[in-house]
Amino acid sequence: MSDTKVFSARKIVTMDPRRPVASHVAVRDGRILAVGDAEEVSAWGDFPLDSRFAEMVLLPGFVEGHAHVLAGAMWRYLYIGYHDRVDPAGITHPGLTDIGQAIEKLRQAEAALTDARTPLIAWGFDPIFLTGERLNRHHLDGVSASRPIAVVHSNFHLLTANTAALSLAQYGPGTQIVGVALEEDGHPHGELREFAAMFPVMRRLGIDFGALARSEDGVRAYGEVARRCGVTTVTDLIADLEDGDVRQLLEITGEASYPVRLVPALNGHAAPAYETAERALALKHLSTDKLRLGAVKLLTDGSIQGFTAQVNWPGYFKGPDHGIWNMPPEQLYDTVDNLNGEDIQLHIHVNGDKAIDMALDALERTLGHHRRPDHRHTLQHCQMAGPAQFRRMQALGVGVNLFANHLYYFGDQHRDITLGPDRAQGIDGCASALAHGVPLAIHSDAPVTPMGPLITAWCAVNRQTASGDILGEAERISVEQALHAVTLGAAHSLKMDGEVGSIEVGKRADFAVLEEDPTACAPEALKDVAVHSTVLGGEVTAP
Amino acid sequence: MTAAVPMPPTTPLPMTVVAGYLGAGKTTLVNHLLRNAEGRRICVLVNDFGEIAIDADLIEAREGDSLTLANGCVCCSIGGDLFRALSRVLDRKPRPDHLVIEASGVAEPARIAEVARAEPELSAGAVVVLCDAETLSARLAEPLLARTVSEQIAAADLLLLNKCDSVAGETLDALQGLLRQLNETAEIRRVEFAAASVEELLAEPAPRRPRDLTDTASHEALYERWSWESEAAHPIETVEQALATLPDGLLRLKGLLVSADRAAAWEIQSTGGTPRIARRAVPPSAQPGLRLVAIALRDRLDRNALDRRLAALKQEELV
Repeated sequence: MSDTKVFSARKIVTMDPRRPVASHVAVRDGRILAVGDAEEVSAWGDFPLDSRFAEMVLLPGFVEGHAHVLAGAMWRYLYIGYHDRVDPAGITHPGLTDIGQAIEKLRQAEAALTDARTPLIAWGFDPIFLTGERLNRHHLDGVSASRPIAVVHSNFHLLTANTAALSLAQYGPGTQIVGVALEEDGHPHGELREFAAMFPVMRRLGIDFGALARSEDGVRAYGEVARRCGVTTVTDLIADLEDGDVRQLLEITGEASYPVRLVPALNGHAAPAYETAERALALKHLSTDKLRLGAVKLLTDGSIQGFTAQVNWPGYFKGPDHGIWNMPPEQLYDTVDNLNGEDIQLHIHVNGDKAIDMALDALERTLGHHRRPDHRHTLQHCQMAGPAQFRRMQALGVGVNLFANHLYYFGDQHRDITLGPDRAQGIDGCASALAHGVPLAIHSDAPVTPMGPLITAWCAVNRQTASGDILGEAERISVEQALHAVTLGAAHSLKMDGEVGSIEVGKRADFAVLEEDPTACAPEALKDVAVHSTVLGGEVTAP
Repeated sequence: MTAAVPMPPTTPLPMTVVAGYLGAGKTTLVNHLLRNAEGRRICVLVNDFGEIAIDADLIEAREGDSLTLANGCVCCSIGGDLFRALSRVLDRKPRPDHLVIEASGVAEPARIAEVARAEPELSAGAVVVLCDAETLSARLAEPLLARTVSEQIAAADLLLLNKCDSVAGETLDALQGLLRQLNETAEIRRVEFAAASVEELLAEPAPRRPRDLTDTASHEALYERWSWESEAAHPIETVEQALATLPDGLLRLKGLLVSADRAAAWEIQSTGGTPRIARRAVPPSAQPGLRLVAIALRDRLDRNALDRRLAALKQEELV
C-alpha cells in the first residue's frame, strides 16, 4: 500500500501493557498497522519514514471525557480569570491575581473597541480567589461610563455589570429584585446573581451561552483548544443536538482539517424520557469516525462550591445549603430506567454524596430488570464518593469520571469552606476508585477549569491545591495510573476503548506528541511537559 | 459582537408561573387554559410538549418546538434552555397577550417568577402552585422532597389543591390547614381536574398581606408556634451561623433583622432547610433587633435546641 508511513520517535509510550514502549509506529488508512522497533515495523514492508518526531515522545492522543464546547466558544469574549489559560490560537493569557490587573486588562480591551455601542464582555472572573473589595459597577464605570460592560463569572451563575449596562436593563436606585445586589444606599452594586437578575442585561448585550455553544466558530475554536493540549477525542458533555446542530457538527467534523473526534452527549432534560431515548437511538446511527453520538447526559444536583450540590449529613462545613435537584428523584429513576432499557449509555452528573446515592439507587433499580452487561454508565464529577459508594459502583459495573482538576483549582475552598479539612481530603478519590476496581477517568470540565490532560493527571498524582497544600495523600495515584485515566480510562468511559486510548495495532492512529517523557519526569513536573502537536488518523494536525 | 441596543418601550407582557411537583396536574392546567383562553392570545412555555393534549383540529401549525392553535394561542417547548425560550417569546411579533411558564417539577417557581420583575418587558402575574391532594402529605414526609415541595408552596400567590374529588372532606380541611401553615398569604382553591378560574389564574396577584400565623385555631392541634425576640441587632453573619442548621420538625421560619442604626434590614425565611437571607427595605415602623417566628409539627420541634442556639448568639454579643 502506498499510503503507509512510519513515524519514529524518541520514545513511544503505548499504554498497551503487552508492548508498553516502542520507537516506531506504522500507519495505514488512518489506523495503526504496526508498533515496535524499526526492525519489527519494517517487517510489514519498506515504507517511507517520517522522522519529524524523532526527538519527541508519542503517547496515545489524550481523551477529555468531560468538557464543553463553551471552552472554545467563550474566547469570543475577553478572558480575565485568576489562572493562566491558553486560547484557541495558542496564546497564553496569564492569570490576573487582583482586581487592579483585571480592570487594566478591561481598559486595554475597551480602548481597542471602535464602535461606541459595542458592549465589552469578559469571562472567567472568579471572586473566590481574590481578596479585598468585591468587583462592582464603580470599578467597571472607571473602564467606561458609556459603553455597556458585563463580566461573566467563571461559574456562569453571576455577572457584574457597569452602570451603562445596568441602565439598559432599567436597574437603578430603588430596584428591588432578588439577585440584584444593592449597595448600602440602595443603588445597584453591579453584581447580578442567577438567571432572573441576569436575563435583562444578557438579552440586551446579546450574551447567549446556548447560541454560543452551537455556533460554528465555537465548535471550531473548541477543536483548537483541545488540539493545543494534546487531546484527539473530546466530549461535549451536554448538547441539545437539534437537527441543524447535528448537520453542522457532521459538516465541521467531516472536514479533514478538524483536529479532534467529537463526542457530544444529548441533553436528557429537554424532552420526556421516551422522546430522549428515540432521539438518542436515531443519533447513534448518524455517528461517524469523527462524530460519536448516542449517549445521554443527565444532571442530578448542582456544584459543591456553589452550595447547590446535594450533600449528606453533616452537610456543608460553612455556608448555606442550597442543594438543588435538576430532575425530581422519581423522574430520574424513571428516565434512567427508560434509557437503560433502550441500551443507551448514560453520563450522570453527580457532585454531592446524596446525589451519588440517588444515582446509584436509580441504576441499581434499572439494572435489576434490564440487565446490560456492558452498559458503561458513568458517574460524572462524583466528587464526594466514599468507599461504600465505590463498592456499589463496582457491583453495578458503573464507571466514574472524577473531577481531578478541582483538587488544585478549588481544593483550598473545599478544605476551608464547603466540606471542611476532613472530608476535603477524600474528594475526587482516584486511588479509592482504582482500589475498588471501578473504571476511572479524570477530567477538566472546561471551561470551568482549563482543559489540559497533563494538568488533570498532575492534579490526580500530586493532589496539590492552589495554595500549595496537599489534599489527601492517600488518594494519590501513580503517573502511569493518571496517564491511563486520561487515555484508555477516558476512552473506556465513552465506549471507545476499542478504537482510541492506546497505541496498538488496529486502533486509530491518534497521538499526542510531547516534548518530554511524562513517565520519566518528576511527578511534580508532569503539568509542565509541553505538547508539541497531535496526530489524528495518521495525519499531523495543524491550526 | 453585536451592538447593545436599548429595547423600544412596549406594554409589558404579563407572565404567570405554573408550578407543582410531578403529577400535581400542571399539564392538565395548561390544557385547561389553552381550551378556555376565550380570545386571549396565551403563549405557554412547557417542559413536556408531548403531553399537551390538543384536539388535532384545533392545531393550526406545528413547527419544530412550537404549536400554533386556531384560537390564537401558542405553545412552545422550553427544551432545557429557558433563556432562549423566553427571548424568543419576547421577540415574537405580534406579542402574545399573556405568557404562562410551566415550571419543571423541581423548579423553584419564585426564581422563575423573579424574571418578570427584573425584565422591563415583562410584568409579574401570579405564581400558581398545584398540589395533589392525594399525595401532598406523603411528599412532605419524604426527606428527599420535603424542602422542594414546601418551598414551592411557600412561593405561591395562588395554591390549587387539586384532585379534591378523590379525597374526603375532612382530609381536605387538614390539607388546606397545612397549606396555610406553609404559606400564610396565598389564596387557596380546591379544584378537580385543575379546572380553576381562568380569570384568577391570569390575574395580577394581590400585594402580599401577611396573615397572623396564629390565625389557624382549627389546626392548632397539629402544629405549634415558636417565637423569639431580641432588641440587640446582631451582625447578620452571626445570625446566619446560628440558624445554619435548623432542628427537625420545623415547617416554616420567618424573621426580620434590623440593624442598630435602622439603615439596613434582612428578611430570613426557611421552610425546613438552611434559611434564605435577603436584604430588604427597612419597614417604616421596624425597631432594631431580631424577631423570629416558626411553626412546627406539634411535639416534633426541639425548642430547646433553637433557644440554646439563639442564647449563644446573645452570649457572643457580650464578649
